[in-house]
Amino acid sequence: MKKYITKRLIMMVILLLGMTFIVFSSLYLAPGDPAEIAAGASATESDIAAMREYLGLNRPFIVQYGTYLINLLHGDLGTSFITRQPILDELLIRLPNTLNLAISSMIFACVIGIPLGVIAAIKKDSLLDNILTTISLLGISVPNFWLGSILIIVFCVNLRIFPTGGMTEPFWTAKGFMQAFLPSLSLGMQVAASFMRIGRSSMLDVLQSDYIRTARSKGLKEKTVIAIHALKNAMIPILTQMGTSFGGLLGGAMVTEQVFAINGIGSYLINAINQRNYAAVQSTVFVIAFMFVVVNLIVDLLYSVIDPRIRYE
Amino acid sequence: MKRMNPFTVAFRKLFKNKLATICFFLIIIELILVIFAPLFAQYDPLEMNTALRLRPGFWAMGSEEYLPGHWLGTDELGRDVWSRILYGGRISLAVGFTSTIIGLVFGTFFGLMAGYYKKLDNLIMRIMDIMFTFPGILLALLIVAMLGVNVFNATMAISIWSIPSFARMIRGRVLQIKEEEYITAIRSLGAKDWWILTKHVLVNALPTIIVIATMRIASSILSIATLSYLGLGVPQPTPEWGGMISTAKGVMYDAGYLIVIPGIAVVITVICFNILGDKLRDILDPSLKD
Repeated sequence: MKKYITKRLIMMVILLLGMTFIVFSSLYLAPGDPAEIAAGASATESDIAAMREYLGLNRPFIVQYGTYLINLLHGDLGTSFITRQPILDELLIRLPNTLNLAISSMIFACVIGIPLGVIAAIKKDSLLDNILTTISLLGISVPNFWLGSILIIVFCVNLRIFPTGGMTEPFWTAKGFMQAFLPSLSLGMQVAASFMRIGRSSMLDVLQSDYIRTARSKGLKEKTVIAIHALKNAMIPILTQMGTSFGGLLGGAMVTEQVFAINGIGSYLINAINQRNYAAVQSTVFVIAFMFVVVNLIVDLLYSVIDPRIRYE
Repeated sequence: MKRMNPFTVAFRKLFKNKLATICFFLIIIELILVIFAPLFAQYDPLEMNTALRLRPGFWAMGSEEYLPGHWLGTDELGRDVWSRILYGGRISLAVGFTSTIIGLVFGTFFGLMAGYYKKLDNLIMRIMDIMFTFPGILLALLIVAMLGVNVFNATMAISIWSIPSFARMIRGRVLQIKEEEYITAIRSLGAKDWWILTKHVLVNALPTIIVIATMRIASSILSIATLSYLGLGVPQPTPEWGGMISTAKGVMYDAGYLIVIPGIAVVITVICFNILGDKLRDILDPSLKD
């Protein structure tokens, strides 16, 4: 197990290095001079030159990248060109909202997607299975921003059940629940649909295996076979999918935050892009990708606990 | 007995499935509508007429508000919604197909190389893994943010973003094909690597490639709609489905149809490609099943 963890940690460091390289060098692709943007519209030539010196933009690429990495290790994500505040502080204020949204969406997806997938597998080829499969196809095909807008029109404007937007409290409080309900529904729908599809197919695989036949032939009730024997093994592919999906939720949160006017890191990123605030764009992309890598590492480690075969591959 | 082309066999099987047949023909109809948009749309999609703004479509037929000719109504600037849907579909489908083809070409190349040459495998797949560290459309967003907002950059961004998933799946297939006995046989006859790769490995991986490409078109169309919704895809006033939903936000309380209609266009297109991909997978390469 120790060897496996070490291997995964080394892998994570390599991934993070590669990821920071892409994020950092993307600034070089950007048209225009970052110093000019940072110095502001009314800056003179000498102001821009001073800004270039200050930002270290006249140093060789590799030195700049090295400094960037060292700063990252110290938790320094740079300063916003626009507000002149440390980007880390600006992100930390908004991070709870994004996590609140992503986690509540994940809970929604698990609660809806997994049971429906399992039911579809148990009732294979029935009318119910066909209906559920169609719903899951619809779920992966609906853009989350569109679903969000439709939910606002129906439930906020016409029925006046939920607030139209904003997020001020965590989802487990009464007010927070009302605020997070529609955003989680629209963000979690695609993930719920993918859980349904994967849950169905992995459950079908498991139900055809020899040990399930053995369990049935020794006279166990179908309920026990499914709940005790089949479900645990059918959950393995879903767990892997959860890691990837959490990243998808963080990525999708950018869009959902725009729809529901939630002040999260996704909205911050979109604003930063529109204001050409490159330093903020880089750092936000880094933070989202970093969280994704860490979540995947945790999922991988959990996975090796549930399915020990993985460690020996 | 005449030997049938495997793709003819696949097509016959596909058309035995009602749902897949419906989707196939819906896509064909949609392609005809958008390619020959000037024939089917009476109005210029960019022509504004503030006197005719926010007029409802066929659902209000009979009322004074309804303008004959504008069967899907007009938008907040008095532009014909039906024309904008058709011309917008041109962009959505063009970006969907183009970015899939570009992603496919590069993804297949990297997948073939990584799967076939053991020495290249680690290097290529680690680079792909690094690209996978950007969840969702984040990588596409980063590229657009840095290059600037226009259709070309958005297409490039979606193409680059789709390379790793193509590469990963095609590599997996190549690893299987490589172990087949006929490949060993051809190699022992002295065939060169490029010959084996193009004439045997690529040809045998083709069913897998077709299935992934079909599903990828669906996600590319969703991506361009999402980028445009965020104001980072197709710049206004050029019509695009995601962009139309975005501009309708301001009037969503009075004219919900401006949000509903472009969304339905996206959903129908994406679901048709997804169903087609699903069925093609069942026929061509059941091993790809989740």
